[in-house]
Amino acid sequence: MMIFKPKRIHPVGMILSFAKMIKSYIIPAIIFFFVGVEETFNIYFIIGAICLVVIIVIVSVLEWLKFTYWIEDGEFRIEHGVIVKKKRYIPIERIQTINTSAGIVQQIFRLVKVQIETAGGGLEAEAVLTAISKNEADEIEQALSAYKNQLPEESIVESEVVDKPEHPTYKIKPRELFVAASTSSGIGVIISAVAAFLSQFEEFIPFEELLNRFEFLTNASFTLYVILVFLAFFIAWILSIIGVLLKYAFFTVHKVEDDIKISRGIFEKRQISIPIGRIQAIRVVQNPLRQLLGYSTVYIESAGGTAGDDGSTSTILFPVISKKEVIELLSIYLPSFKVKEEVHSLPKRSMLRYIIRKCLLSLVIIIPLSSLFFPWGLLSVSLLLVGIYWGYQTFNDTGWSVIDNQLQLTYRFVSKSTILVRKNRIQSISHTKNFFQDKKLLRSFKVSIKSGIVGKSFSIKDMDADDVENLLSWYSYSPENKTRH
Amino acid sequence: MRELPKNQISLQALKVWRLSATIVAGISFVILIAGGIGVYFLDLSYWITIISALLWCIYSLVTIVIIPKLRHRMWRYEVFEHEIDLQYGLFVIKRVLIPMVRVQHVDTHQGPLLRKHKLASIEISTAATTHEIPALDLEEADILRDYISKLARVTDDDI
Repeated sequence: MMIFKPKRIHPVGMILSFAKMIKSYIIPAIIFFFVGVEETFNIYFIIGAICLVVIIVIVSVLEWLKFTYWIEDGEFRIEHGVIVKKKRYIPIERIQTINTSAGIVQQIFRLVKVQIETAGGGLEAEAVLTAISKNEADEIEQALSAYKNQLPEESIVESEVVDKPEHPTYKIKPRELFVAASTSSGIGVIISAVAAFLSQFEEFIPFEELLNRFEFLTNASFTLYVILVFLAFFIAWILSIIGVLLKYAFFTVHKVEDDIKISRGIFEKRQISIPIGRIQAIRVVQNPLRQLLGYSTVYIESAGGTAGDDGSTSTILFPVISKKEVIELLSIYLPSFKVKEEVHSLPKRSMLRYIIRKCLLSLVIIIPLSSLFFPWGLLSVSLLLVGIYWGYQTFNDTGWSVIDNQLQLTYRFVSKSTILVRKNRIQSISHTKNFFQDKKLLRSFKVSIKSGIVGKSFSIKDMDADDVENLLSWYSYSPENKTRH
Repeated sequence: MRELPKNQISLQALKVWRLSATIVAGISFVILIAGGIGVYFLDLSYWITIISALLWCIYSLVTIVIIPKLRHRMWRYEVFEHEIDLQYGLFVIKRVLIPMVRVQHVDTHQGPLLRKHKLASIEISTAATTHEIPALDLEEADILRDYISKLARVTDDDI
């Protein structure tokens, strides 16, 4: 195969790196253009700009010339650098995820961008091939997985005979796609964006004057406002639906041997492959709207730096699936993770603490409202009821359970989240108690896992002290230390 | 109940913490004086000065006398063959369990105050978290660091 010899990326890579560099100069150029207005400026500016562009062109050509990649000795190797020569060798076993995506430029030329990530830090992926053909990308992936397969034993013949199951494939159904789109929390973001946008226009549009002109409509003005607001919300909602539709269209999950492959998107096609053994934890999230409809979202927490969508470190495995399917699909795709419906709930005595916490939160709104708008602001006291209900629900939903080597934590802030993590993926666990908790024999419990660059932790407040002790001994690697009851 | 970790940190740590709290109190005292002069010249109510002075007294007393003592009393650690067990905190008491196989690296470090008292802190890093055992005797810290790093070398699988 070609891949074992040093190889350049597609020449389109030159254009991409050129565009990237130009982009980074645009803002300084604009500032320069507007600030440095002098008489002789124009000629010098143009000369300078031309020189800069020429330099950038030369640099991007040279960079493309010098950038080579290949696979050798079980390592993915990259050499690049014009003046300083840099070599990067990534041991194949260390690769966490492989991302394939295609932006518009790549799609025009039928190319893809491949990002290879390890668990190491850094915001960028460890190896980025900005433009290679689809065939080459497939070749790389095959070469990598072939290498991985021959790693454990050399019994390739045997496994080839036995291992010929068809790869399970999940495709998003139109109905699910629609539910995902209409209930995504992206609505909030867009609403606030529209609000910000409108507030910008307040200065330009003389609302007051408008209202005066339509004085005969004063009675109707309130309705008008309501309709306008409603319309704005509706448009925001439609926009967010379209956004999500574009993002999750053709969402497919394949399980190929020991990898989970996820691909999605219309304009920007993305493909991510995550080795199952590298998965740090599984997160099942239900926002209230989706919970009402009986749907939830499943995320993978992996150790790669930039694997996630939207800059987060988690990757969506199933955008929207029903509760029943969560268990079903997990047992097909990730049989080592099991969701349990029945969890150990918290002791009754911690309920009050949950309710008080949420009530305090609602007081933050109530007190200023009541004091600012004195008589009518007092109506906001009814938020206390919301606080009580919210606290009670949070208490009700929180729980934990242990199945063999897997710990499950279920908790809620607004959305209900369920975390599944295996013992050997927990980096450390801790529990804390304050004075009041100690009096009631309660503890707050926390597990930390590696996810992305820094890691994540999940915690449950006010667990029974004995339960926490049991979890500690479940996790403890030296059982002889947990004697004396 | 899991037993409490056996080892306490060095008594010398008390001195160091008190010293550093005193330095902070000293600096804030200078700020207090400056503020007092400002209040005097700006003809503001002298109550501002009195109340801030009172607050400063309480703050210094708590940070110099009480907190180091409590902190030292709570701090416990024990290093087992397979895990590290920590407990610390003032009002919120925290207990941490770090398996040896998860330890990525250990280092010791000391600032000028710790160096003067021949102390050092140990920092234990996993892939996701870092934990510090503050103010151990320098020799003990070095031994412990090497010990942990030797034990941590046994890994079952990566990350």
